[in-house]
Amino acid sequence: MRELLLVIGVPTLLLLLVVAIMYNTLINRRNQVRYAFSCIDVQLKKRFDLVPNLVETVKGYAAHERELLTSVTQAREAAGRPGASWTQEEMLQQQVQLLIARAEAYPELRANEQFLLLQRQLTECEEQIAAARRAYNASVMDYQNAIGMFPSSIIASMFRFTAMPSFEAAVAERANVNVQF
Amino acid sequence: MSSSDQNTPDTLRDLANLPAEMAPLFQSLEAMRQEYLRKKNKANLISLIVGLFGLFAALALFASQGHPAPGIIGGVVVLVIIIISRYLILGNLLSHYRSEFKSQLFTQVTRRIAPEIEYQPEIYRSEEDLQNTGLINSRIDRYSGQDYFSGKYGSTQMGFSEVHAERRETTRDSKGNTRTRWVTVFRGIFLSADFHKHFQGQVIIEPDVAEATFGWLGRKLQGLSGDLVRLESPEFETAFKVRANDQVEARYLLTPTMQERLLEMRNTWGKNFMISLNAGWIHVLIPKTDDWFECNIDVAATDLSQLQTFASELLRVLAIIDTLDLNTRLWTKT
Repeated sequence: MRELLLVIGVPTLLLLLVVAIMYNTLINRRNQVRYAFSCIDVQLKKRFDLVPNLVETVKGYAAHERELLTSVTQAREAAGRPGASWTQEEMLQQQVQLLIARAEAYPELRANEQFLLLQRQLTECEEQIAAARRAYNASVMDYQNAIGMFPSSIIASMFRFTAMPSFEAAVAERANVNVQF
Repeated sequence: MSSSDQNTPDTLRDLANLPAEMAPLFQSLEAMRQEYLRKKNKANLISLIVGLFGLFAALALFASQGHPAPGIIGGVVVLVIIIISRYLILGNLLSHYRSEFKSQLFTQVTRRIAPEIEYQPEIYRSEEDLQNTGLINSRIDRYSGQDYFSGKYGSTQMGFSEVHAERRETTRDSKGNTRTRWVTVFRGIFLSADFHKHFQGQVIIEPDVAEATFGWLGRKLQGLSGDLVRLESPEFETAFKVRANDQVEARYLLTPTMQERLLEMRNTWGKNFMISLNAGWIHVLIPKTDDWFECNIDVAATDLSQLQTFASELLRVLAIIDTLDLNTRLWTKT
């Protein structure tokens, strides 16, 4: 009886241990993805907060860029709505880049300390957003590998771990921004 | 003047004007060198005469007494006489010449290459600074160095020197005899520079021995540490192992462009250099065994080749700042 318990019990315990380790690894990877996603949000919020200052500064020197200033404000509002899509965030990024590029045509604005500081802050912010996206993609790749590779794929399907989307640059983002004065 | 302008071969050609501009200094250094060589020849001659006399005396003692002991004692006495006479004749002429040459001529060359950088030949980066890089995982029992360069290069505050950190290792054999030896922990160039972006955490970039040797398995084993950062470039991933306490910050600092630059640096300096990014500063450790920034007593002080070698070595180190593009300040850190 004791031998039987050993023969069945030990392998079962080992199997349960392996399942628990795999399950915890999957949970850990999924949490990493969620954390990485929240990091992107933090950086997007930073950019969101910088945009009104940029609009106000540019307005003081280049008031007749009203149309562009309005579209930047609208893009910010759209990106700030709950459930805003990545496309709306990218639209805001493009509008901000366009505004900065146009502002280069105004020498007084180019010499303005406040504008230069904002420009630097936005450059920094864009790089931080890019870094956060790359960190997110790396954690998604680790997670996808874990749910797709044998034997953890069995545990993943048993506990309904589903695939998560990675972040890809939108087609519009890849194209050069066409600046016209 | 931008840093890249400073790195043109014109800098080396400009050195040709130095002897004319500082003729008295060149002449006094050459006179010092000639004096040393003259005294060295004199010391060699005396050593030879005393040595031969000692040899004959030892042989004569051996022939008359038939025992080697008096000859050996006589030999030791002769050796001591030679050492003392050489010291009395030469003194510290050689070290004085080297010190003067470096502090006078190399300082001038440094000023021409990078006007805001100060050169102090006798000083070196501290052991504490080296330990604080996070790149040294060993005890240090003996520490030395020389040739400290510090100041601003372009927009970047920086400092570097040659350092040599060693660890004492004592082994005991089966008979109980202890043997002490010195193991080099790090020997080479230790450079620190103000990084062009603000950051708080720490990123360590080291040669990836495990992945280069064991491939996929090596990467898996590294991953167990938890702080490993896997970056997108396969070439970079094979070459370097990156550890950081913040994954996002590590990627903010190691942009794809920065990864390319580090690979370029690897082409120039070989695969063994290490980098740490720590609280706003970048620290670079480049191992090497030969002494840089030195003058040669056998070469005339007026010979420009020594200055050109010094300039090439200095430019090569300063080029790290350009390769890593640290003078480009697009971010809030100016």
